[in-house]
Amino acid sequence: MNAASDAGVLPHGFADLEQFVPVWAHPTVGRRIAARCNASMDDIRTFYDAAEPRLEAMLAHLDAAKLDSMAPADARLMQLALALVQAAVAVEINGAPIRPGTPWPNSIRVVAGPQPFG
Amino acid sequence: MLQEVHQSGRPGFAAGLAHTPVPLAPYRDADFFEREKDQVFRRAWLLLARVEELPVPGSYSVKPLPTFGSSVILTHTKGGAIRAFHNSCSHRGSEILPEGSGKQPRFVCPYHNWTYTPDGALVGVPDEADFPGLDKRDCGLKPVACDTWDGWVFVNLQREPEVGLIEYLGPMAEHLAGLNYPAAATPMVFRASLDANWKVVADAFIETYHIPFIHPRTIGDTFASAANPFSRLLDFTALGVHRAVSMYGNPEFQLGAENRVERTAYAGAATDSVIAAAASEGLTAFLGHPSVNPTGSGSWSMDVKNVFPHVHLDCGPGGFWLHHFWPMSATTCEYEVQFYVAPATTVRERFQQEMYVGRVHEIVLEDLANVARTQRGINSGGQQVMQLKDSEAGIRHHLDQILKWVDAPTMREALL
Repeated sequence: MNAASDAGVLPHGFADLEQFVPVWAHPTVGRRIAARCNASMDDIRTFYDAAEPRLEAMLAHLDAAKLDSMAPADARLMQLALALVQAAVAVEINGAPIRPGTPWPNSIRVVAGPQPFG
Repeated sequence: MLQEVHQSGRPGFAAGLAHTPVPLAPYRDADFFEREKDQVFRRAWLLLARVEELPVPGSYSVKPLPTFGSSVILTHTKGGAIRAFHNSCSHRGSEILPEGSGKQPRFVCPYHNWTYTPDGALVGVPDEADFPGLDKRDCGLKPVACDTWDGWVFVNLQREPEVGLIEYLGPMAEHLAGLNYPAAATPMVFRASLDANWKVVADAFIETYHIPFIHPRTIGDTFASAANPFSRLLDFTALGVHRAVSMYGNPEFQLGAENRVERTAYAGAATDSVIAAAASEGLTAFLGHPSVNPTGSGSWSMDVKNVFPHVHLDCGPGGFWLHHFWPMSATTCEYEVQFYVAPATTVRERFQQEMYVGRVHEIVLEDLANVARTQRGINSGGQQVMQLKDSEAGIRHHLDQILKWVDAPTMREALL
């Protein structure tokens, strides 16, 4: 475990994304979906515009980490990268926080997501 | 050849199916629902699980039967057999285990700690001396008929099934024989409670006519193209009470430039299909099976194998996935979809899976909204029949079988 990366909320070099951790970094895919569905399009767009240009750097940093035993700061960065997928669902696919014409909340439950971070 | 298939092909008609309207009463009628529950779901073999979920002796898995408000315990016994039991204690009938799976040497009822082995034997009764005349040998877990075929675990709720599993599967067993199932041990599971008859939901997943209209932004461009704008079927095969359809896919499909995150997710992926989670071990053999993309089309998206009555085994370029449709009432059902995906070994694979889940969730949501809308229309009673196009052959053939089963006095006659 890397003490330096544990000191911050996110690993060194990603301080610009720390403001998004409280709203977007969640341990399960169900909670990341909920974060997107509960957010305004403006907030989603702000996160997307800040994080999308940083995606390759995030993945490149995380390439060195072990998927199932990440240091806390790396795990938060991974959760943020995975949350960017939900922001992309709104920005790139739906053009809205929630799929137009569909209900939120709805009865879909993620019983078992992909592991880890599922 | 594709042009020929799309413009003049009538795979349903070629299989001997009619083109006449079909009744809508089975989609809203409460009496029909009760007959369906008794005559179909209490008699048919019901596909419940993969053997990979029960990997070693001592493994168990509790599977809900939503239609009956109950569940069964599947166990892998010391002798190596897969067995099924009602999840009900011999003391006062209580449910013993919560839904889930694992490995444990004993099952203990939480109510009064009656204790059973994975073979179903009752081995522990607290204060047994206060049950004069109790014979533990008569008080094991009550078995449910259970059989496996090619790694699939089925149960049958008849005490003595009239027909064995292999005879029940009939031509579907030949159709699927030898298919390997990549990543069968690691399903992702989504569930939803839907305001629609179970057949409304199953019907939506065995035709592609709706895809350009209901899913224009999520998968519309994957399933239709200028060459086949209404996504006509590549193939339909009647397999006894079961059936298979093969669906068209747009070979020109590419993610748009605006799909920046998604393009990153799929960079370097073995397939560019947005309905494929990841390449996985055994995929080449899976895709090489003669019943996967049976026409050998270069414009193929996926196949649906409808294992009667309520399971769709779907095969696509990235592997297989499974839908379960459980009737709850004439106008509601429980829906489960399981995507079998190999565990990610790298951060980028895991990222790709998240993108897959993200898109699939939206597709399921579109279908959820669509089936509720369909059911409300059916409930109006304004329509007595459905008009089905040839490419909706899977719907017609399934309903033909259901109509036969609800009236057939025996299972063997229902299978004819």
